[in-house]
Amino acid sequence: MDLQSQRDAAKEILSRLVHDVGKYVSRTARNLPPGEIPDGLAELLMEDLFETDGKRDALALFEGIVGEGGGVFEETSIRDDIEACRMRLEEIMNDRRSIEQRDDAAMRRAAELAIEVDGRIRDVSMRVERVSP
Amino acid sequence: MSQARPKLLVVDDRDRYIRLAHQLLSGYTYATRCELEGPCVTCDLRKGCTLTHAHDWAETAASLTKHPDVDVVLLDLEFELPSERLLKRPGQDLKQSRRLQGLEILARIRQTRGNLPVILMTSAEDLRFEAEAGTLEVDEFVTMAGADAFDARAMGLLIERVLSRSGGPDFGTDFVWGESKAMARLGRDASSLGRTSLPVLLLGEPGTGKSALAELVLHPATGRKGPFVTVDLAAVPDTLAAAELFGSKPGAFSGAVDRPGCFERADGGTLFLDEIGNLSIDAQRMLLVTLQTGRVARLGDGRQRPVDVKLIAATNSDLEAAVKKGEFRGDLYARLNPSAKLVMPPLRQRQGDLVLLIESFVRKIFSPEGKERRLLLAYAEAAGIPVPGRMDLTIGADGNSAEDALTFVLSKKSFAEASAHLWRGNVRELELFTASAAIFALMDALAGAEKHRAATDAAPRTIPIPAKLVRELLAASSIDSPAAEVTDDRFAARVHPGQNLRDTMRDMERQLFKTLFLETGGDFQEMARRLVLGDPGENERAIRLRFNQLGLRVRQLKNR
Repeated sequence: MDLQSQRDAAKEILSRLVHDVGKYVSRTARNLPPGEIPDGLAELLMEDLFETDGKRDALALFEGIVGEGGGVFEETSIRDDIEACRMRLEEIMNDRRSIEQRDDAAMRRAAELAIEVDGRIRDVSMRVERVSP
Repeated sequence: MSQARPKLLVVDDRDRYIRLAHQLLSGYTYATRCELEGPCVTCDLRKGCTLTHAHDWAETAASLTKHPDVDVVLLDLEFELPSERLLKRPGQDLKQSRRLQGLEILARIRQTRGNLPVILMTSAEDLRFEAEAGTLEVDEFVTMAGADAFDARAMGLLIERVLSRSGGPDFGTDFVWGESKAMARLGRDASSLGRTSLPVLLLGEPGTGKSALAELVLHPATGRKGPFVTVDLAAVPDTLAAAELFGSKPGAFSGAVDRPGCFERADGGTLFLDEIGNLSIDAQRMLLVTLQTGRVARLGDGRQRPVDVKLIAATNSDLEAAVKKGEFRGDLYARLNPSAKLVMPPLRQRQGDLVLLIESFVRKIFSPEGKERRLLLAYAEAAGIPVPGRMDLTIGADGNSAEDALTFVLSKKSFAEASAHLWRGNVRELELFTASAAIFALMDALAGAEKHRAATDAAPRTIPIPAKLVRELLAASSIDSPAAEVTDDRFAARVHPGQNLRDTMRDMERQLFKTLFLETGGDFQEMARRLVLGDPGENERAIRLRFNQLGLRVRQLKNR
């Protein structure tokens, strides 16, 4: 695959990560009020993280989309960002039981990670856009 | 606004936005497809419920019909739906249709609900490469993620900003706000005043839309569950006005029956008194007592009945001047809240809204509920085209029309002539002019289609409005002469260069006869009494003769 095709493929994958993962994992996460998290928001947060596309959790969805790219992220900085996002999602999944038990600290930590994942995916997506319009 | 809290309609193929909105924007009410009172967030049946919002255009249309008082639409962009549930544009594949479905739904909302505020749930940045985005008629964009992500507080502020900017809710094509500053100001004031319990005084020239504003905007803004009752005091004889307003008991006067008046009928709702300046002094006194005490007594009955009514009073006369002359009670005038009056701007102050208004009237008469729907159906059949889904208006267009539209074309010259017209009858006159122009133009097109019996290209979807027709209609609706016009009860004569004295005098005489005819309700004997010394009965014939000689026609004046 030539460099331009590779970048186009990377843009496509990143766009899907932005719209299908980042947007959804961070949506409720951004709106947690101070103090105790209400049941309704806790439910929504868990759905955002563990049923992100209605079936798969955020990590499975993320890895599925990246996997479809077939290794287009050869450029080091993009690869590193993608790996950083994957690790944060993995951290959320590792804490799933605590989150599902409505542990406040676990939910808040997961929310922070989710917002970071969203921000990071968008940053790298915009970087790739700027380099190859 | 429909109630104290604005009503939102969420349109999303999934339920994430609505559930988030329920949690984070609990200060609003929501347009659902459910018969239960709500709110959804506390409903025992909410888990798995799909009636909380609209998932596609069909459900959106149904929701907007069920909830004409929706204040803002929150609209998603992407809709992962099967093909049959998508609005499709020619040339668009399934993927594109899904990706940009929100734009198609937005276009339909604009066609059917005009300026209803819409917040598109995506970022403007995300749409920057979309050719279809074009000049989107979106009020705001909002994204729930990324650097520009909105949280609940920001979303709430955004909704309030959109609401205040829109100038007021849109209740469909029956009331067109337009884009003029005057109407935007009016909309904001109407929303505020409507929500209070205070009376509202509506001022404005005839035909500016006072009764429409009262019924379609102010009454819904009150949130009252009771009815909207309207009384045109210009059409009620003085002797019966009090009975009409307060009711009667047998024996109160000859022929009196036991019936409630308008105040009782409007209890819990809104009472609109049009032409309040026409009330007799006695009826004014009774109205004042009712407003002061919140009670009415039917004529001939001592019993006081409590009534809870939001009062909207309208007039095109100068009530302040009437108070000074002693023709209207000052204390009643003060009760009508004149410091917070709403003034309907005349059409000449809304020149920029002319196209919008004409287009809305065309759509109204040919809509599925419109009076001329059969003419449209007959034309579609004769021209061999599917029944158009919407009507458009273009000025001086090149003749192209969208696939599912019927486009009426007004030439630039005709539009300029319409823009220069005085429109003394304001929006009402414009509506009648538009209806006549569109109907005659379509009838011409129907006759042509019936002759040829075949539609081979896009031309059948374009209906030109002939320039001659426009000129004739403008001339017919403008029975004021160019040389003389009436403002209040004075004549203001204008003499055009080259116009001789004889023509100027004739124009002034014509205007005088017209004014008297209208003031006397077409009573030629009364006109004779005012104009000529001597026996009015004997002079009536001469007055009638002169009336006709001046080119005036009874039917034309009575149909104003």
